[in-house]
Formats: sequence, structure tokens, C-alpha cells
Amino acid sequence: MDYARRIGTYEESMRTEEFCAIFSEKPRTRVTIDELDGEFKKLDQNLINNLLNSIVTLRASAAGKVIDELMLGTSDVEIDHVPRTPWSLT
Amino acid sequence: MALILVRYGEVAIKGGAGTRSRMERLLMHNILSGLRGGIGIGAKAIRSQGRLFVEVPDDRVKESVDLISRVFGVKSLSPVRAYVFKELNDIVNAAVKEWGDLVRGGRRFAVRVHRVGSQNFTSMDVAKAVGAALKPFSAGVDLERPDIVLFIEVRGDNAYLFTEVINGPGGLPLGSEGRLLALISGGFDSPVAAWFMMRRGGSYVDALFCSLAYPIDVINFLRVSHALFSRWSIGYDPRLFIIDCSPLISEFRAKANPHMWSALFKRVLYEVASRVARTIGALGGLVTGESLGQVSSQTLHNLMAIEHGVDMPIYRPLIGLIRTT
Repeated sequence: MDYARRIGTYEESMRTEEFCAIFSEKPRTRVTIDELDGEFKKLDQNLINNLLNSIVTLRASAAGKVIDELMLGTSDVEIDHVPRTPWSLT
Repeated sequence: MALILVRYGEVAIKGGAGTRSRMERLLMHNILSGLRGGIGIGAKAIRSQGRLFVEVPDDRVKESVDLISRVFGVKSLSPVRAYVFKELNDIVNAAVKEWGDLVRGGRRFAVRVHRVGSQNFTSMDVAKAVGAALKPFSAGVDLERPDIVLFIEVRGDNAYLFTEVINGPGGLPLGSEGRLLALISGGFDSPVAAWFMMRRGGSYVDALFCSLAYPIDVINFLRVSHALFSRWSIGYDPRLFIIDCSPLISEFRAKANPHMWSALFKRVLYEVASRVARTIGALGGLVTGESLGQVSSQTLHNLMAIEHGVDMPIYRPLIGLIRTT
């Protein structure tokens, strides 16, 4: 925390913290390698490739501009290559 | 033009002359490109006996100092006034000219001298002579608890006078090691972890984010990345990779044991990240903000299961730190 303040990310992280509670259904604390591999294998085999195909890349120096565009809902500029499918929540 | 003296302790003592010289050049490059690209200052830098001297316009000293104090590898820095001298008395005159007004008004001062090279006087001689000359202007010399400290660094026939020592972050110059890919969540820990690896390892760090709730979480990620990199990644403009991970939600709901969702999410994330890292040549490995026991899923057991199958190092610089709120 002290470091986050010193580094200058504290204020920004404040907005996000505990936001990623989507997978918080009583997580197991002793998952074994085999169990996790078993779960992993149940998933769609194309999943990883599909995720990789959705990658959007930009330079950190363009972040400010892209934030503005996202806030305005006009984000299609300054991104190196556009994802094949538009962002959406299932 | 004004002069800023830059000290870089750790770089100076590294390895052989070749490594040291490479690190020094990298440090100079990062400082100069930061000044130019970051705040539009055209500066010059000179290397001299384990120090850098950066020349900037007189009216841009404050901004320059602020920027250089964030360059990894910099131990400390000071805006200095440089004088060429022939004899001790020249230094005394320079000190009176620079500091006569400064010590006025009932202030107690101390003179600290550092000397390199061969002169026909000692550091103590300089301190005594300068102290005696300035004393009439002031409320006296106080070596224990001075109101103001006057520093003189004597190198060859140059004397550098300064009153401020500003700390830098230390560590190694960015780019002196390899390239890493940091998994940034937007929370408190992951940007700090990335920062630690940038500082300590001198590595270029790119960032990857897995979005589950576009656009709000992407905006937060970009804000955090901007705060981190615009301040600290001086001399390198990192790449940010954003992945639409929302398909994971339905996939997990349909097929996976809910109690293992968080571990499985990490497993998928590491898999994706290590592939991206290989593609972009970030062969040094991955960086995460995980810390033991920080959340209930970050246990030794889980970390072992999560990273199984990932064939590159995963650096977790916060692993043993205790978070204070």
C-alpha cells in the first residue's frame, strides 16, 4: 500500500480493488495439480486460441486517449489492431 | 544552462568495465530520452568518474529533477553550480557568492565536503575555510543540527556547490536486463509488482489484462497502467495487451467446479500470458502481484497447481510482503 502510494497508482487502484469478485464462490485453498488439470481439460479446446484472437494492443503512451474514447463510447482509434468480435458480456 | 549531478551507486559498481559502460550509456539514454520525450527538454549529458552531469535550460531545472528522480538506476541527484578553481581561496569566494544570502537571517549551517583527485588541500581544509568565510553572515556553524547543509564536491579542478540531495529509485537502468510481461489486474498489488521488477531487474515490462466486464474494467486497467508507466517507464513505451476474457464466464459456469473457478481462471490466464510473452519476446517470464495468503486462493498449494504446465519463470516480488491498509 505504501508502495502503491509512492509509485502513484494508489488512487487509480482504489477504484478497482475487490472489483474482480466474480469468481469468489468459496475458493478451495488446497487445489491439487491433478484436480486443476482435470478442470482445465473440461474446457473447450479452442478456448485459449479464441482468447488470444481477441487481443487488442496499444502503447502505454496512448492509454490516456483510449480512456477518453472508452468513456465517450467511441473507442476505435489508436488501437493497433481491432478485435475480431466486438467486446461483449455473455 | 544549469547543471544536475546524477549519482548511480549500483550501476557504478557492477561487473567489469564493459558491463558498467553499457549500463552507464543506457542510464544516460533513458534520462535524455525521458527529458526529451516526456517533457520536451533537449539536454546534454557527460559521464565523469562515476557521475553523470546533465545540462538543462536554467528555467527547466525543477521539472528535470522531478523526471530524473524517477529514472531507475539513479541513486540520487543534485542541482549544482560548477566552478573551476586554481586555489582553495577560489572555492571560498564561490561559496560566499553562492551562499552568502542563503545563510543570512539567523540560520545555522554546516559545510560538508567530498573530494576526488589530488589537490594541495584536504576536504577538512575546504570545510574550515568556507565555514569561516560564511560565519559572519549567519547565526553560526552547527554540525549536529544545522538549518541548512552546504555541500561542496571537489573533482580535479572543478568545485560543485549544492544544497539539495534528492533520492532516486535506485536499482538498474531499464533495459539492462530482459523483457517481462506483467499481469495487471488494476488492483493495488499487480502494478506494485511490475514496478519492483522494473526497478530491481532493470527489465522492460509490458502489461496484459484480462477483461471480464468491458468497458469499465478496461478503463480501470488503463488508468492504473497510465499512472504506473507514464511515471516510471522512462525510456520505454510499454505495450498493453487487453484480452476479452468474458467467454470464460459462461464456459466456467457450464463446465467447471465453482470452488475451483478462481484457480482455474488463473490457470487459463497464465497459459494465455505465457503464449503472449513468447510471441512478443518477453522471454524473461511473467510478473504477478500474488502474495501468500492475500486472498484465500493464494496458498502454496494453489500457486503450485496454477503454475503447473507454464514453461517460463513467474516472478512474484510481493510474495512475502505483508500488506498494510
